[in-house]
Amino acid sequence: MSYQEEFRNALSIESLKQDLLRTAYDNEGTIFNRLDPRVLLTWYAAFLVIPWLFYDMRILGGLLTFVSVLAVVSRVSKYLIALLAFGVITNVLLYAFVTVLMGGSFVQSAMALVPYTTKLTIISVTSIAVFSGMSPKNISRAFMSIGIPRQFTFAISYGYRMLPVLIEEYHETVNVYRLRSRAPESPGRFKWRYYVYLIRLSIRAFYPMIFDVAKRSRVTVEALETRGFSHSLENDKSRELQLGDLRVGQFDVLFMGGSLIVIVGIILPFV
Amino acid sequence: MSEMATENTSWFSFGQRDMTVFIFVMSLSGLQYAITEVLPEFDVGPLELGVGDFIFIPIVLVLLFRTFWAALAVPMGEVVFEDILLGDFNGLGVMEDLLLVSTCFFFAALLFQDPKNRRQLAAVVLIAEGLNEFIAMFVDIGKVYIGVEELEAVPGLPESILVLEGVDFITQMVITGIIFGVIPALYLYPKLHGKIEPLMGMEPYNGTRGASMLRGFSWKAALSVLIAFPLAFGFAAAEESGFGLNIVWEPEFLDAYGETFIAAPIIVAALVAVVLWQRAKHST
Repeated sequence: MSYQEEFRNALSIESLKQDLLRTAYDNEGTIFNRLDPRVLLTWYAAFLVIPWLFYDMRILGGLLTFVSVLAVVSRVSKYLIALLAFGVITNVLLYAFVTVLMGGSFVQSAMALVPYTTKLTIISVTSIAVFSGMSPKNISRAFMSIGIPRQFTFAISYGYRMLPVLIEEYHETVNVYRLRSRAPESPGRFKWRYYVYLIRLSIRAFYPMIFDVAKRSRVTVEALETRGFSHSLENDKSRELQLGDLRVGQFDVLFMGGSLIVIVGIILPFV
Repeated sequence: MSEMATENTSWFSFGQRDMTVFIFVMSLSGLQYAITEVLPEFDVGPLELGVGDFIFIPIVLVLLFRTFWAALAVPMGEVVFEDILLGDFNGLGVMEDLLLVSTCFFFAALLFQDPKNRRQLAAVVLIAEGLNEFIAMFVDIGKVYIGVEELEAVPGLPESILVLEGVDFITQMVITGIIFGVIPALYLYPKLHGKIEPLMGMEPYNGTRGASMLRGFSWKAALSVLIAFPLAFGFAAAEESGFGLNIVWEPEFLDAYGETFIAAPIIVAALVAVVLWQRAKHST
C-alpha cells in the first residue's frame, strides 16, 4: 500500500469524523434549534402520522420535497443523507429482484413497495432534520417536558459531551497500536490480510479504552453525587428550574402556521 | 443498597453503583455503535454486509456485571450516541431496540454460570445475539406486511421478503455473532474478568465451577423476553405504519366513503397536535 493511498484514507476518515461531529454539534442558529422544543416535538409527532394518510404518489412526493428542503436548511450531514438514499434505493431494487427470482414481476413488486418506502423515507428525513438540527440540550428538555425520566435525559446530555472525547481517544489508541505493530508484509488478494490486521487492531484498541472509561464513569458519578444528582431526581423544583425558561413565541406560531399552509397546499390540488 | 446486584431480588433497585455501571456500559457501547456507524458498510436493502457492530463490547460487559441496568445501558448507548447525536433517530422505533436488546442480553447473561468454561461463554454470546436477531427478524417481516398494502396480490413479493430476512439473519449471525461476537469475546472476557469489577466497586462473579447453563435459566427473564416481543412489535408497527392508520386508510375504504373523507384524519391529527401542545404547556 503506497503512502499516498494511505494518506488519502486517513484524510477521508478524518473528514468523515468531522462531518459526523458537525452533525452532532453544529446546530446553533438552525430553524429547529430556535423553536420551542415542545412545539417541535408536536410538529414531529404530526409528521409521523401525516404520510400514512395518503397513497397518491404526487402528495407523497410533495411532502418528501418539503421535508427535504427543511433538512437542507438545517444543515444535515451529506454523509447521512447519502447513506439513507442508498439504503432506500437498494431496498426496493433488491426486494424486486428477489421477487423475480421467486417468479414474480419486477415492475409490479417495485410499484407495490414504492409508496411504503416513500412514507418511511419522509419520516426518516424528518427525524434526521429535527434531531440533528436540535441541540442536545433542547432535545433533553423536550423529552423532560413530556415526562420522560431524568436518567434518560441526563444520558443525552452526557453523551453529547462525551462523544467527541471518546472518539478522539479511540482514534489515538488505534494509531498508537498501529505504530507499535507491523502491518502485514504482503497484503494478499483484495488486501484481505491488511483488513484483517486493521480489524484486529481496532478490536484490541478497545481493551485500554475500557479501563479509561471505567475510571471516567466513576469520577462522573462521584461528581454528580457531590452536586446532589439523586436528590434532585425526586425534586420537582429542580425540574421546574430546568424547564422554566421555555416560552412559546411568535416564531413558533409562525412556523406551525407556515407548515400547515404548505402541507394544505401540497395536498389540496390532488384531493 | 445494591450489594451484589446479581441477586434476582434486586433487579430493579437503582443504587449509585448501578448508576456507575450504567454510565460505563452506555458510554462504551455507544462509542462502539458510533464507530461502526462510521466504518464502511454496505446496507444493500435489508442486508447488512461488511463490518457490523462490535457486539462483543456490550455483551462482555453485560456478562461481567450481570445486572438488568447493564443490559438496558446497551440499547441506551445506541439510542443516545448513534440515533440522537448522529441524527438517525426514528421515533417510536427506538422502543423496539430498548425492549429487545435489554431483555435478550439479560436473559443470556443469567444463563452464564461458569466463567471459566469457554464453551459456555461462546454459547451465551451466540444466544444473546441470536435471540435478539431472531425476534427482530419477525418484527421486520411483520412491519412490511402491515406497511405494504396489497402485499399478497403481488406474486413472489411475500416470499422474497421472507427469503431476504432469512438471509440477513444468517449473515448477521456469521458476521456480527461470530466474527465480531464470539471470537473477540473469548479473548476479552478472561482478560477483563476480575480486573474491571473491583474498579466499579463490585465483586467479580465466580459462578460455580462446572455448573450447567440450565441452572441459570430464569422463568422471569424468559417471560420478560416473551413480553418484550409483542410490545416491540407494537411500537415498531406504530412507527412504520402510522398507528394502524395505514390499514384503515386503504384505497377501497376511500372508494366506499368518498374522497372528501380525507379531511377527517387531517383534523384528527391537528386535534392531537393541539392537545399535545396544551399538555406540554401545562406541564411546565
